[in-house]
Amino acid sequence: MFISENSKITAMKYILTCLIACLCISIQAQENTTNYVLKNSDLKIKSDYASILIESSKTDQLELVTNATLNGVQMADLLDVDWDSNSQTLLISANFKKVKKMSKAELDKLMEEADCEEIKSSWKKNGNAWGNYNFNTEVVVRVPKQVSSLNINSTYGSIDVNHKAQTLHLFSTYGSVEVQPNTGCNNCDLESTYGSVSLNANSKANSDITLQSNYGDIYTDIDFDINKEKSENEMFHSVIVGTLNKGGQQKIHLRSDYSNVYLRGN
Amino acid sequence: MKNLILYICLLGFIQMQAQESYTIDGASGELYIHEINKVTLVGSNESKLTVEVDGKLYETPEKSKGLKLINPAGYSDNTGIGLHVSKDGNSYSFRRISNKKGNRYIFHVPKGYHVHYESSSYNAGTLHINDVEAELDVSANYNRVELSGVTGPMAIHSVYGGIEAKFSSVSQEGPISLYSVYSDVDVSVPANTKANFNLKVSYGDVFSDIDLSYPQSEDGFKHLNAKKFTGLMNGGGVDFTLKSGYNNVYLRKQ
Repeated sequence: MFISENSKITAMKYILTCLIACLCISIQAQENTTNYVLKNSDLKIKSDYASILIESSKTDQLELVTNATLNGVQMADLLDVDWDSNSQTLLISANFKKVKKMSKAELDKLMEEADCEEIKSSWKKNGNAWGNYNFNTEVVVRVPKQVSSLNINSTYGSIDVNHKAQTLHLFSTYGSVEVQPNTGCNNCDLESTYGSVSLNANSKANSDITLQSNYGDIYTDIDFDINKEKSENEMFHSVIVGTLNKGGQQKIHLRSDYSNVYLRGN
Repeated sequence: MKNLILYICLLGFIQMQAQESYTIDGASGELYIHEINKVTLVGSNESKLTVEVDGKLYETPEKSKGLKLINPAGYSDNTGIGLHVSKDGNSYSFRRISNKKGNRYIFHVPKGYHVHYESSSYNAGTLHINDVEAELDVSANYNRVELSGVTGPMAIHSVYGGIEAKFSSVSQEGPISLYSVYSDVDVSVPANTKANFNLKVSYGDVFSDIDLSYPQSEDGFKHLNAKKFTGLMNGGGVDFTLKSGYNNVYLRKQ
């Protein structure tokens, strides 16, 4: 079979591109994983900037995966993690000072290590202004089955829970708070000051529901009885108090001061 | 083929337009507007009440797909334009559902409707009432109320907002009252208007370019008080009260 030189060059280019892409993906996929042993079923997490994703673990240990990037470049030591085994509290903080202390030469070197040309050119183009830094900090917390109580407090990051727990106390000041379907919480307390709050709840449960938003709206697809006497309906202050089925078993409290509240049934 | 595509596009366009308005058939009834920010009332000769959104309705968030917007009173958006409407006989009550700052709602009101508007929000904006011949009751806390081409009867009350009204004619069918507690009341009427003006100001003044006549009371005296007096225009007619608690009343001839 005759293959022209041009076709060979094109094929080589294609293979090379694929290899570079794979390398990029491989670097992005690098995980910094840490394991912790739990003594009881309560877990607390306090975080400032990182977004928190809670997943169920297949092991009986708490597994922490951190991913931190600066302008797309992996920077593992951007996140500090402390574990208080007595109170079973994870303290996650973004250490931006490390970057602030770096010299321009060090930062340039860091950016040179980036495999993607876009990042390099962007860095050269944007210069060393503090506003040109784009941090992305994410933490995946894989939680063993035994954890039935989650208490998470985040300042800037979002909270996303995909784990079955009886008790959920989730609060973020600036990030959104979301609980995925089939988490089965009996006491669901979700709150965000500026982000949206979203819960997928069991529509067959007997639930006492309180939904609040001051400057946002409240959405649901569950038909529950609204107690108009206990509910508050004022301009820029809406509190909906209601009962799903017979009530009394499950407590749902969702609140967002400046964004929307979503309650879905499943 | 081209015509067919054009026709389909036109239908789609009409459908899109229709999503931004809500219509109630019938030329008469009671219309209640509760706590809806940014409202304009426009007179209509059609035998239906139409509510339309001025501009594009606020963007529905992606997350809300499949969900309905609810509020503490148990109302949901059953108009498709962010409002709840409830019907009781020939009476229709519109309420806001969303806390988000929305666009202005324009109510096209047939003459046979009696309109009741109430608002307590400091974000309610100016209430515009244009060419409405329907009877009006307005009770507002913060709204400024601007009327043009109106006839009465009406009772317009705002605590903090001023009232400015330009009458196309003055109906003799019922009393007219415009009262602002803290702001000006500024009214223009046609030169041939027949009215008994009751003018009241507690801390302001009354200004006018109309030659009013002052009737004698039963005791034989003309009661003239700078803060509260009655003046007849063109021999008198319908009761027409203008009142401001802490500011001025302006009565003008067109």
